[in-house]
Amino acid sequence: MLVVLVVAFGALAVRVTQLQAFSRDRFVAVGESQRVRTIALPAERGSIFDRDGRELALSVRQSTVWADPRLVDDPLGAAETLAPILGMEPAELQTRLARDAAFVYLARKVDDGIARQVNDLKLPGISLLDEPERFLPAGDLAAPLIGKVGIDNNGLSGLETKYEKALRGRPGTMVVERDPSGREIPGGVRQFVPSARGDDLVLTIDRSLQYETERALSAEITKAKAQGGMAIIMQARTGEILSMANLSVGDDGAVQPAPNNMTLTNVYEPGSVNKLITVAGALEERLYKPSDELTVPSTIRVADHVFKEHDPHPTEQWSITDIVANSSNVGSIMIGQKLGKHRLDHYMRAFGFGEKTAIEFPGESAGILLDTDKYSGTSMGTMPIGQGVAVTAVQMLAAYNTIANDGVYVAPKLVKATIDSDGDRRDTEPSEQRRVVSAKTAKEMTAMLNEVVRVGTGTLARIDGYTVAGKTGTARKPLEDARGYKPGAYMSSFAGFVPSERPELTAIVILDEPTPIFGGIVAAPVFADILRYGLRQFRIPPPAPVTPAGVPASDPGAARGVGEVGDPTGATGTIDPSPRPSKSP
Amino acid sequence: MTATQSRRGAAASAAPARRPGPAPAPARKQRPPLRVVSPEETRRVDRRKRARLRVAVAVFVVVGGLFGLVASHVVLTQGQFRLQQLEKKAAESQARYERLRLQVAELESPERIVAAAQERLGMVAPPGVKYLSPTGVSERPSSAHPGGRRETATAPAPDWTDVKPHLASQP
Repeated sequence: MLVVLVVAFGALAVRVTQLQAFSRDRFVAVGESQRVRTIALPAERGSIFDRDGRELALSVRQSTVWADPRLVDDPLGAAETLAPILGMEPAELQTRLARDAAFVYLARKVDDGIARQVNDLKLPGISLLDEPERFLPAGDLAAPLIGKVGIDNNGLSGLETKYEKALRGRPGTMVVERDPSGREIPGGVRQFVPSARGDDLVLTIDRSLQYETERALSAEITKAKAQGGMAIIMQARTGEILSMANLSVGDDGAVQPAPNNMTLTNVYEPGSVNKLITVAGALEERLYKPSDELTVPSTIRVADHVFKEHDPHPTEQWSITDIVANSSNVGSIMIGQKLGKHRLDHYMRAFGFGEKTAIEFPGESAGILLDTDKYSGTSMGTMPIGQGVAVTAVQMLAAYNTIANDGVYVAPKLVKATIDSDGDRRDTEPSEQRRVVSAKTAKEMTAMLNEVVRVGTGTLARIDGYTVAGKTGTARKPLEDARGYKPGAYMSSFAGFVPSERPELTAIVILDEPTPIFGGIVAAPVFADILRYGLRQFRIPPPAPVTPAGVPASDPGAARGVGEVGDPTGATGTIDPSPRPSKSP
Repeated sequence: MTATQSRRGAAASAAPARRPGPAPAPARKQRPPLRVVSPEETRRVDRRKRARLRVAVAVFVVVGGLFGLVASHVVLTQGQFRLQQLEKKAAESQARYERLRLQVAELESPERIVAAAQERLGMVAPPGVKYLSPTGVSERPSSAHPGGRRETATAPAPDWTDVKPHLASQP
């Protein structure tokens, strides 16, 4: 008996020694791991405001349902109870609840009502935790621009990605010692590192104007049975973008926000709106004056292709202003040829083509602009009329804004300021500026663009009480998977600014495959609608009109918009002869 | 009888035996014989007193300390619960603030306002906007054309400069 007792106590002594002396640290660690918990404190993601401080995107805490499977007594019963509330299959829930883990998500960021129901059940091992969820309180307004946020609160696209570092903030941690029932042990371990809220972003966008831009564009897309459309309004002097609409038609035929911010990520062949650069370059180089007249036939051969006007006409004596007002392809090609490929290339790059804008939007395209040594024989037939070159809508808008700004390019910008978690506002740097053409050239170009709207192809862009300067474009649409152009498919556009005497707002409207195809008919009215609203919204009165000397008024009798439609394929004539007035409507 | 009385009685009965006298003095209280107390004994008594005092102080300190410990633990626990309650309340208030902020933003959205105006109030968008031109602004030829074609661009009337300063300007 004594031997047994000695052996038993000896064994106990060995075990105690082993636990206390040799395995002490391990068991202390195990004990702490059961009591001490490190809780991640997610940082609140910064909000995105419009220029007047109205929320476009903000984060709100939502409840996430999670489980500690070790504490779930009856996985099947819990799964069957939770399934109808969470809208999940019981089998899926049971699989999660049976996992060998201390933490599994059951449903993330559920509605408050669902969270209350789950909480009321008081199921063992089932708990709730708060996670921030991103909301767009104005619905889909500017959604492609703002972008998306993932389930883990990280930016996936748009400005949410571009400004991820500023918006996400800095997460904190809290280390606490808790008893088995989850209550904090008084006097136990407690370390607290608070999370820092992300910076708020103040955009240059005006929410009301954005809504009106999307509304007007959506209505025209529906009316013209287009595949989609883009529209942008910019403040002329600052380069601040006031509205940026991206819409497309879904499989169900409904107009909806485009999957991405096409105005910066997608390129298109601009067509006749590009004639602005051809003519401005020629004026800047003093090759022509606005009043100089050219003998303009209905067709012109460049290398092995014959380029022609959309509407045939007898050979005319047209001034440079008439060529612009009528959007003459042949006249523009003649001007481009005199300018030469090197100077044409110089001006296209100077106006901002071929490089990304200062916005540096995620996925932004630089456009497609060939080096002059890669020009084909017909390039000097296509380039001057805006085919064979691809730009983003914002690049083309910035080019028109250069003319609106007396020849000074102003880099577009989307973010006006950031506000840190202490409430300190930091305005972004003013947009970079550079002179592209002289003020005299810009004034002359403006006067010619006035004629486009007054008597040319863009009369539907008129706004009562204001002088509008602008240019129509109807460009053929390239095939997506092969060389050449898609038959009958056009990108129709109108770009310009108002009031032309002292430009305040510059805008571009582009419709994808509309019917009718002409920018002057489908895009110009949208331009007028949204700028009419913009002029009211920003309380811009009509300035005193000023017309520079030496710019002739275009002859309404000659204003037929003969070259409105770009046709790089030459004489083969694949233009869809859909109804279009031979004279501006 | 107390111990003192018994000692006094014993002393009274022993006195006649040691010191007989002619007339017995009336019985009175007898003090114990004085003796010289040794310093050692004095120190021993002092040590006992100090030890008792120390024990009393130690007991008081231990009991007081225990009481203080329990009291502070109770206070700590109460504070912890209060802290947890306040943290929970702050989180709930923050969540409520966020939800209300979202609600306000949704109510202010242009889409909702337009829908409410059209569906609830029966409002319709105007077919067009009429602009009133300042008095005196009229159309006049803008420039000369080589071909002598028509020119109808607008130009300010002489009083335009008087009118313009009274109009709002910038966005």
